[in-house]
Amino acid sequence: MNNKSKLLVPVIVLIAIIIAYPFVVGQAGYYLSVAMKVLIMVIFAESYNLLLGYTGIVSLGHALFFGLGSYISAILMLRYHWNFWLTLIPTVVVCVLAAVAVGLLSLRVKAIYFTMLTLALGQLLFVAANKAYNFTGGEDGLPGVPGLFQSKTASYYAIAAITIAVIVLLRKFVSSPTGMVLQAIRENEMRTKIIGYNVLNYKLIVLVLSGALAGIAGSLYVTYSGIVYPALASSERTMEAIFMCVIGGTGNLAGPAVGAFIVVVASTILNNFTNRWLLFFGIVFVVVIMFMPTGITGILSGRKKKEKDIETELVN
Amino acid sequence: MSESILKVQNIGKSFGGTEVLRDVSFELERGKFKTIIGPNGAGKTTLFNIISGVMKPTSGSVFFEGTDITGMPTYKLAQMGLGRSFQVTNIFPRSTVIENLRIVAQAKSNAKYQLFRHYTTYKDFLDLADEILVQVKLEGKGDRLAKDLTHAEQRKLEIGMQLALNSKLILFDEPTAGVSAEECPALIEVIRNIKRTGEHSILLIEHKIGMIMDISDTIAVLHNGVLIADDEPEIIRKNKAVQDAYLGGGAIE
Repeated sequence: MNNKSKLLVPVIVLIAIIIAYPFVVGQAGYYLSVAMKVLIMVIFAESYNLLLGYTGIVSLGHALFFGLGSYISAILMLRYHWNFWLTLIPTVVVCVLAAVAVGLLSLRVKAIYFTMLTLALGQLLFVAANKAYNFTGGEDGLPGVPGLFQSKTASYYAIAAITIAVIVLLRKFVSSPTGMVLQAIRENEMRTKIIGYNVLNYKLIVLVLSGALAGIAGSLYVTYSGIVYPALASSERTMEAIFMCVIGGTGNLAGPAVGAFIVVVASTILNNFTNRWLLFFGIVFVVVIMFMPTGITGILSGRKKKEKDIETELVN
Repeated sequence: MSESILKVQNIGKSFGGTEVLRDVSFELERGKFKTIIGPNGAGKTTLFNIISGVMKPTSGSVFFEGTDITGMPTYKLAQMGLGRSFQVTNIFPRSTVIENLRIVAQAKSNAKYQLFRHYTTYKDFLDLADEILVQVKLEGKGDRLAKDLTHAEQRKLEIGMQLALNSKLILFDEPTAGVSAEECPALIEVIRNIKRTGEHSILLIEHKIGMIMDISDTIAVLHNGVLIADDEPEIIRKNKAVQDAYLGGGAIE
């Protein structure tokens, strides 16, 4: 209860900012696009956070789902003139099936092999998108994907509404009985098994939910970028998700959102000066891992102090 | 013979060329308390790992309530009513004490796959967790993170988790491991109370045999992977082979 009332004010302020934003920056501009990208990447980062932050599993193939969403929506809209909202159905269905397939193939093995397998499986779509020129446009991709609505402002509001809905849904999910089991798996997987939970099932559930959300993020992304291309499914995209989660902080819902905001805004600004903006992120990443392993939100909530306590405890 | 809740039949286990257990057989009657003693390296924990499904035996079988459970996954055994604790404290370190208990209570219910209701709406689990908190003498510590408890308190939490699971058969692997001599009696008291309820059959591994002599119904002695005796405490106390194996000839106190 206390927690809820403490959150109420910042949440209202945040929503007010989101609503007021287009009036402040102007209705058609560049700044609106950046905000749309931030909101979409928040969904993507949150989907990854479910795996890394809540369940403690490291996947290097998350771009697969983002890419699936991107290509499914773009191809259906461009080649078959589907309405965008309808393309979300096949996106979710395909991502769920892909998540089950990836999960059944790779979740049975130990953590490190799981990670390697996801890296391999994640590259499948990237390679296929490059090769299937006739269908996917190959390396050039497929340009001309329409926006969500004629008006950019309307698209912005729609995306904002979806992002908020996703966070509300995730907030419910992570504190549901299932969400609590995921956190138990993160804390002590062996113990979770021994008290009677089928850990594989839970990992499948989280992989499916995470995959579906990443797919939706990918679908939305092509309406923002107007073009689909193989890099959307490349492992670089997964790295971005990891950046956003680690910089913002994992294991809570605010962290990846903060991380997505920072990564998108910073990369947009840096892009004006140099194409090598990833280099900067590499450095930031190392610094974050070394000096603030709980991320920005971790530091803000004072968890850093507790980490130190553990260390001193261990030393003693 | 249908009385026995656990039946271990001719269990053998080798790691590479090393034989850790040879032809171990015993039974545990429902509602009884059996302690397995034996020097370090006798194979006690390996035997526990086999019974609880963490390891597969090289030969032999384990029966739980008449069902062959050899090689069954641990989560299934837990759902059938066979729970175990660990020699090394095995809890959820960054969860609160109450959550450690609650998550166990939730494991047997149908709510465990619920996706969108808040976990606290399932009052039963929280109530049970609160009840157990008192039972294992951790009142007032429910909101602490498990990792912040003292070692002895963590051992109590571990026992509490067994209670939350409400297992028919509880395997305790050295519950007093690493616990100071002053704190041991309180811990043994908790176990004694569990026995007193009569709802659980208990299989215990212990080094401090003096403490468990009077709560055990039977004591089995494991030595170099072989079960050399399995009898009532009084008879074990007088058994010459046991004294030689376990205490180098000294009397068991």
